[in-house]
Amino acid sequence: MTEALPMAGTPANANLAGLSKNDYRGNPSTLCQGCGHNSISNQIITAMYEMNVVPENVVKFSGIGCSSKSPTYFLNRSFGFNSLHGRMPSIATGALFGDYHLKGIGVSGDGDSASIGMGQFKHVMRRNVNMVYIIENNGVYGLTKGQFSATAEKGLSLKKQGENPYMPVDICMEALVSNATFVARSFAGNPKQVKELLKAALAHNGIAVLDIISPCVTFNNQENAYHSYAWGKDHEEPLQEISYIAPRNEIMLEREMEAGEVREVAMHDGSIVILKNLEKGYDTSNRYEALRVMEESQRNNWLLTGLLYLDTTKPNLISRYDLVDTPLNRLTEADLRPDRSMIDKVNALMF
Amino acid sequence: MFFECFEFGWKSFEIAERIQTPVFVPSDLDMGMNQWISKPFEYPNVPMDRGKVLLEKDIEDLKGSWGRYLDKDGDGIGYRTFPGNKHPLSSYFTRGTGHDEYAKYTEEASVYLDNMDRLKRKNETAKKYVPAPMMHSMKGATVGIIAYGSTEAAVLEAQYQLDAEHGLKTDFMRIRSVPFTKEVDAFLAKYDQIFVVEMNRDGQMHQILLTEYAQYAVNLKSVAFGDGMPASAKWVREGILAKYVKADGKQKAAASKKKATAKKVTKKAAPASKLKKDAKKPVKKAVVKSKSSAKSKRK
Ligand SMILES: Cc1ncc(C[n+]2csc(CCOP(=O)(O)OP(=O)(O)O)c2C)c(N)n1
Ligand code: SF4
Ligand SMILES: [Mg+2]
Repeated sequence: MTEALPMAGTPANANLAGLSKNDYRGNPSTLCQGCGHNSISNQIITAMYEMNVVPENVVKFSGIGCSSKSPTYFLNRSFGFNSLHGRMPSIATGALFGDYHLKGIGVSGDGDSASIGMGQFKHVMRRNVNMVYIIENNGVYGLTKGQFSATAEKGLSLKKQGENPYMPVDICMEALVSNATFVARSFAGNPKQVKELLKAALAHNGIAVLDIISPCVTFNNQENAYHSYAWGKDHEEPLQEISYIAPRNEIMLEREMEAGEVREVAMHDGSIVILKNLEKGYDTSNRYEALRVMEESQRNNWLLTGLLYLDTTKPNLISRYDLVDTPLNRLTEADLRPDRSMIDKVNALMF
Repeated sequence: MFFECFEFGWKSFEIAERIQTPVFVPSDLDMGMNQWISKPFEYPNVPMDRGKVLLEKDIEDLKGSWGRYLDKDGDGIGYRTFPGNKHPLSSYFTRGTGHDEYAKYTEEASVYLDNMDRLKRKNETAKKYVPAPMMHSMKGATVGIIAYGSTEAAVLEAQYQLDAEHGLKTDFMRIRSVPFTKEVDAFLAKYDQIFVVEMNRDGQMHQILLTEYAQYAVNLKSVAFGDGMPASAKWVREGILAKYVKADGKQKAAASKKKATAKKVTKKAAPASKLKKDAKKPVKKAVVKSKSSAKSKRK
């Protein structure tokens, strides 16, 4: 993803791809001021810029919702597809098969992924499609005026909706039990962590789920609500301090921290994710541990953030297939047409 | 049936790429669950159609004068690029909201209207690519039958019976696609009684035809039936006879019947006359029905 573009007159603040931050921006946002989704879009722009990503090598996907509108607000130079409600995973799977050299970035909502799109969400996890899958989680259907979503906490009381009687869906748990290979939770009110997690997610070779609590300031931002800024700020418990180190940077790590409390994870592209554990001895490669800390945080009313689980050893979807180098969407008739004898085989199969 | 299902399988991809529209190929439970005899499948012997696609060099040649929804050729189909195209002008955003010819967001009413008109043109273009109907014609036919899919064999058998036993000659058109092609236009213009035979409760194809061809609404008679079993010639035949109106066609039907019996002389004569009695009942009923409906029309 880091090949440089031949560009004349490279701007002064250019990154290694020869691009300025403006090359990563989208249209001006039409979302409400203060919406968590906007701050996530900004971090996507910054992360992509800092990672020297070439926008033409990225495809954006989304479903339906305020969150799903946001791909318009970053990476104007990339292809994008605003799909049907809850159907982003199948669109993304298809497009990324069409050209497996591309990196996918999907933005969905809690309604889009945990209600109507739950089935597709589960399958894109287990297939380990090579994409970043962001859920901008606000506990409501923001776009349709604030109905409870499947991630709203039991007992949440909203003026126009009454009280939510149901237990919530935990997106990270769902991802984990569906065999996702990168599972993280973050909070739009913690932009630094969002950015570092985004970079790690982009470097991951497979599905990277980011469940980002992203307050809806218009419909669900009361102080005592799980998805509000105030509650998040008071209850956030980060698992680690996370720093992403790009492949080319030969930064010497400070070794001041006690051994065992700093973990370096080598990513597929040669980059390194440094996790300074705040929770003693937390091991991101242990699924059981991940489930345990999630359960614990639920019981204690914490907003647990950070990289919950990471497995860099599993093959991504594409590598399970013996594909040619040429992107499938560029194959010509000469490449594609089966031999005439194939029809006899097909006919023989009928008996 | 199976032969065609296989053919439609690969054809649907071509049509989808050409018209840039999802294509649905309805199959049939009877085909999906049971073993049937079929002609061997045939090798697709036509060049593959990938539709209107632009790669990097094409965009370069166009010197950037490209818009995803620009109707350059006047057929309603724009040129598209694939994700992965590295030309800086190749990318676009597929959005669920209003957009202009360059795929940019807009709420401009006139742009929206233009786009809707383009889609209408595209629907017209589609008719050139979708499969035309299959015709099972009979010399001297006075009425038409429209059906689709796996009712075909039952309709063919009923067609034979109606001729042999009731002297009713029919033209049978098996529709193979929506949107309807010009062959369908011509068929509908030809007969003042057309029976739309189909295997469902509500007469779904009949309803679609009524919408598309309102001018022929009074000629289209729904023969819809679905009991979970494959179609039988019996219900097709009885359903048609129940709605068949002799009216001014009285002589026509009789005359063509004479010809039929004259041709087939000895063999068919006896059963045909025997069955004529049974045929009278539903015909009478139908006449009464149509009179009352004609009256209510006049009101
Ligand atoms: C098939 C379908 N069903 C319902 C809707 C209506 N709808 C639009 S957005 C939405 C919920 C969006 O919620 P979420 O994904 O959480 O996004 P948010 O707006 O909260 O960011 C619904 C139900 C739709 N557009 N399509
Ligand atoms: S309604 Fe809520 S989710 Fe939608 S843009 Fe406004 S604040 Fe954001
Ligand atoms: Mg939401």
